[in-house]
Amino acid sequence: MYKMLSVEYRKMISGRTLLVSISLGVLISIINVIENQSFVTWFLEGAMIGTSFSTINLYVRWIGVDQLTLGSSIFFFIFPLLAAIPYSWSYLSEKQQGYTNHILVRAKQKNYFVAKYIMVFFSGTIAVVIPIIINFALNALVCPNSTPHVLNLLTPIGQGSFFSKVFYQQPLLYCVAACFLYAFWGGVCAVVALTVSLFVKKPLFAMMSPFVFAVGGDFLRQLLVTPTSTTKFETSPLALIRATSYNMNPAWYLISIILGLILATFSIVYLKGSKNEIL
Amino acid sequence: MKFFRTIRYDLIRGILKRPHFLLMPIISVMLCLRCSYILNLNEVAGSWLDYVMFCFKGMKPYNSITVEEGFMVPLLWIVLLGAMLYTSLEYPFKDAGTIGQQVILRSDKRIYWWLSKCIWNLLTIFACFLLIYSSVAAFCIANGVPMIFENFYEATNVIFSEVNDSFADSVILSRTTTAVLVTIIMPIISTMAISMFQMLLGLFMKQIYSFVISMAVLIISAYSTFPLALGNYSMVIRNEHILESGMKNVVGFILSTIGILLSIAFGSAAFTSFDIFQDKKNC
Repeated sequence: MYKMLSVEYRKMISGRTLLVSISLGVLISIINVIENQSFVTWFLEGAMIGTSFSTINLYVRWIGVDQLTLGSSIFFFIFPLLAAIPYSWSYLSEKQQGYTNHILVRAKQKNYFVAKYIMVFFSGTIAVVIPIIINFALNALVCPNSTPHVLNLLTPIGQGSFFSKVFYQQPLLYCVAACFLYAFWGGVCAVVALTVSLFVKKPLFAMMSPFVFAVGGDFLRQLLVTPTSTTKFETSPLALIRATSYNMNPAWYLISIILGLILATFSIVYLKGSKNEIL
Repeated sequence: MKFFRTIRYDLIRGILKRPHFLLMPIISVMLCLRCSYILNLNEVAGSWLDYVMFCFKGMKPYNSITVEEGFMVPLLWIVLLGAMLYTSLEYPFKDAGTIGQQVILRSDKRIYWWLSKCIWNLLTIFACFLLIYSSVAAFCIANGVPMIFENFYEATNVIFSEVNDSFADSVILSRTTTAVLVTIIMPIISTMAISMFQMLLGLFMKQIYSFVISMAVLIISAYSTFPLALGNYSMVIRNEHILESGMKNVVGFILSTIGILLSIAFGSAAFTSFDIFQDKKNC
């Protein structure tokens, strides 16, 4: 098992797609930094006299919380794609090339799929978290560091939001928690693509599947919304990926959804993968 | 002669034999149901043109300084355009990696293959729009909605309620030429330009990346009214005939045409050195 993990890790980390995905994410997150830089300059030149610094606060403007900038909008819209691009296609590609046959005569089929699942999850995690961490570091160069004000209307973190108390008391700790949340969502998006790849023949379709599920889910939700259909908790898949949301998204709610998805995808990959007659 | 045979082959294999086009009627009927629900809720009647305008509505111009809420991606519009871009994404390069190699070998010039794919791309987008208009028409006929090329002010007022305080004087598209321009020509030509750009990018990178970039172009268009963000011209709500100080149709038409021509020209130059035997394992 350890050997299999090590082989999968080397394949994943040396692939060009991981590097491209991270670069794409970093490039988009830099758009957010540039926008923040111009906003902070505009603010400091006296454009908003009388407003507190919490509008240009680092913890409010970094990509993990901000919902106003173009960079943040693009990043979270293509988040499922960024997570799925690095390595989720690998199973299908290896199967089509016959590489899987060579592996399976030397190792257990179950071990192969477990190792594949872990590394695909890990690839999704690092593909989204590295750009977010770089964005935080770059924003720290341009935005002032102060505690966010609870009355700031630009911050969509209220009672019932993910770690809302922590955000207003220890914002740095909140950022760490948000990074973990994004890491898990990245991993989930990647393993959803891996799960779909067990059922389809096109790697492109498998890679796009988490994006299609998220956007399609949101599309249906917007079509079905009525003036009386209000929900207590956030139901939009694209909004759930974010740590901040206009509806309630408490930590236990997000963690249960993530754990549910991990459990469901792992069961499918393990059962379907170990039963498939590949050789 | 060989060029026309290549085009005919692309039209049969790339349009008639692909199930991707089924997405268009499904999405447009869903949008029509939503439009019908909104109009019924407000007790107003709409026409075929109102339903088409709802499908390509988009979102009002966004200003990050004055807003009280964050930027919301106009999902209904993006899904419709995204489905069209997905339809035109895969075929050319899948073809180049398989049977298209035989076509290139047997055609007189390598460039014929690229030009044929450009025509295929433009016709694919046109076919997508045709399917959307036909599906909306079928929905309207089934529900007794008048099939006229004119919008009703009450319905327009409800559909574009977020901008009804800044409507342009010509918001009633009674003149057929204006209606055709706003709901047919501008959305089609701007989407064709984005789709051609996506296909051009496919020569230099994997299709998934070119799709990511096209999605980014759509979000930039929703976020900013910068004239080069071509998606703006496919949003009916931002058209100069709907919104005062809206996007200029002439500018949009010229920029989209230039975009299409540049994509064809750059693609022709790049395709002469494009490796058709490249490794396609990661799609």
